[in-house]
Amino acid sequence: MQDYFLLIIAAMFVNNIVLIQFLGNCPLVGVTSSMESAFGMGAAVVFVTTLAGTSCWIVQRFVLEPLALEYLQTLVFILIIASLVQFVEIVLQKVAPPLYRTLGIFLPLITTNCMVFGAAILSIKHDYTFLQTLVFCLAAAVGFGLVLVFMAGLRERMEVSGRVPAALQGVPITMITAGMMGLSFAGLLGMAK
Amino acid sequence: MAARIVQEFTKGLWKEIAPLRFALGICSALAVSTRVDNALGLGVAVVFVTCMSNVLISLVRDVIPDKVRIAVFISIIATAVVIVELLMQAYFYPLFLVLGIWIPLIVVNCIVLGRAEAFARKNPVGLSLADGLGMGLGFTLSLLVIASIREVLGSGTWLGIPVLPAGYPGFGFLLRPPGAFVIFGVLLAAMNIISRHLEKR
Amino acid sequence: MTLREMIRMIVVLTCVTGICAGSLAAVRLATREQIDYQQIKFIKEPALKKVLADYENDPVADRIQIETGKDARGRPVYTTLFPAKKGGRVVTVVLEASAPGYKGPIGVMVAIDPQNDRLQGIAVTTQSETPGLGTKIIDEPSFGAQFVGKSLGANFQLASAGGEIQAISGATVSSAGVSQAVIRAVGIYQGIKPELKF
Repeated sequence: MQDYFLLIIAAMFVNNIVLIQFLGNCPLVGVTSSMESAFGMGAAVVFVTTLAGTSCWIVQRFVLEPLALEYLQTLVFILIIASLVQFVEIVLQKVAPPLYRTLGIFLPLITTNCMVFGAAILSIKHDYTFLQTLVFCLAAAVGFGLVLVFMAGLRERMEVSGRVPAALQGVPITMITAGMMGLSFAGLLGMAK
Repeated sequence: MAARIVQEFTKGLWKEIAPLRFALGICSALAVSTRVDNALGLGVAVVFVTCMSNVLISLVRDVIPDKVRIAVFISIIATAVVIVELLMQAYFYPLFLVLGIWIPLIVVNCIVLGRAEAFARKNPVGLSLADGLGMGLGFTLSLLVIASIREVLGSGTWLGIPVLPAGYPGFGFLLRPPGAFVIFGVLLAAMNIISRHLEKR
Repeated sequence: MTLREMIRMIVVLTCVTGICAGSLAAVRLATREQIDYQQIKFIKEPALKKVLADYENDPVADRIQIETGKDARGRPVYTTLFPAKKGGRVVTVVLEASAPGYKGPIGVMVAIDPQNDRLQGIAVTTQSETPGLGTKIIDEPSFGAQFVGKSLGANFQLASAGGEIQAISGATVSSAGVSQAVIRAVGIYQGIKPELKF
């Protein structure tokens, strides 16, 4: 049990997938200008990453490894993720139209979000069990969502204050803020490795 | 035609240099820029992938139904990436170990799919190759700039050669992930100032 | 969406993924040997350098794989031999074997002189022993030096078990792991020696 707790803390904060592992930095810039879109993107990513990470794990263990086709991993994983995103989109549209209206526009973007693909590969690389993969993907994606929401909050405040120098506006200040945020996340380093 | 090819090639190096202008592909640019040699290695891999995917996608652009084009693009890109991965494993094994997951992650580098979608599917092979080469080299260039700053100030060396006096203590913060974000932000701000200065003249 | 469109989509997608997978398989096949070579070279060469002194060839490129038994499920187990050559003659054969230590297996590279049937040296490749105690099997050169020059017929058990090897005090289990690994390596070598023509 404690192992899983540490895995969650490590994936969510200490080795935060955005700030420490540099995965999914494009949306960090792209969708954090407003809180609403940051939240939508975060939720969509949590959903897709967990689903994709576990699916990829199953395919890796029960198809690629027995057939000694590990070198096709990249091709197969990205196709799984792409088709999964399409599938989720169709299902959401049919089953939960309100949710689709919130998350829908973010779904196509997720295919090329390196965080989904990265989480899938990292689970294999760390030799996680199925349950560990599930927990890791979920925690990492929640960590991603948190950073997105924090960043959106900070950027909205900065927008209102109007004190950001012209040269720093937009991406530069977002990057520097991310650096500061990363420092505070790294402060939890003592808790888990 | 020749002028057009040159134009498509050079735009990737300054006017539309992807990581610095549009913050595209910054994940790997930040992750492997602690040392210049690693940055160079990833840069070469990305150049290979952008060129190969642009050429192949441009070749098949007329037979691909619009609805499945993304899936086709992704398959082609992933193939190019795995070829790079295998070649690197076979001939540059230590580099392969250092770059680790960042080689397969080229698949989801926004620049590669971005160029396929925005350029290669609408343009002939020659232009697409020029575009891919320019964009790939622009990425490499950005990576080299960030890596040079981080390696020189962070550990006092460039490409492993000591460039600062022996007593230099090393600015370790720059080698850590938060340092990468900060230095990248400062670099972008500097570019904004330079661009504005050039425009005024 | 008409049926025609649908069929075209499926055909195109199938073709594209098929060609992709096919070309990858081809590249994989073409690079396979080189990748194996690189991996072995990168992992084993540092240990090989430790046990080999004077040679002119690339022992990793000249490696020989020999079936040395079957595992529990009946699949063949292979042992890799690294021959070191000088003046066209094989002067040393290196092989690796492992045995349980205090924590996990200890892997040992053993260099054998095939002309005189003597040990030329040993080097520990993998271990996870207690730092400062078990790791003395690496840190104390005098321990490994005991094996050098011994005939293959010697008794490589620890002195406490009636053999010729003095254990490191405070690291008896780790020392026994090394000695067992050497015994295994020598055993494998003796078993396949008739097949080798040096």
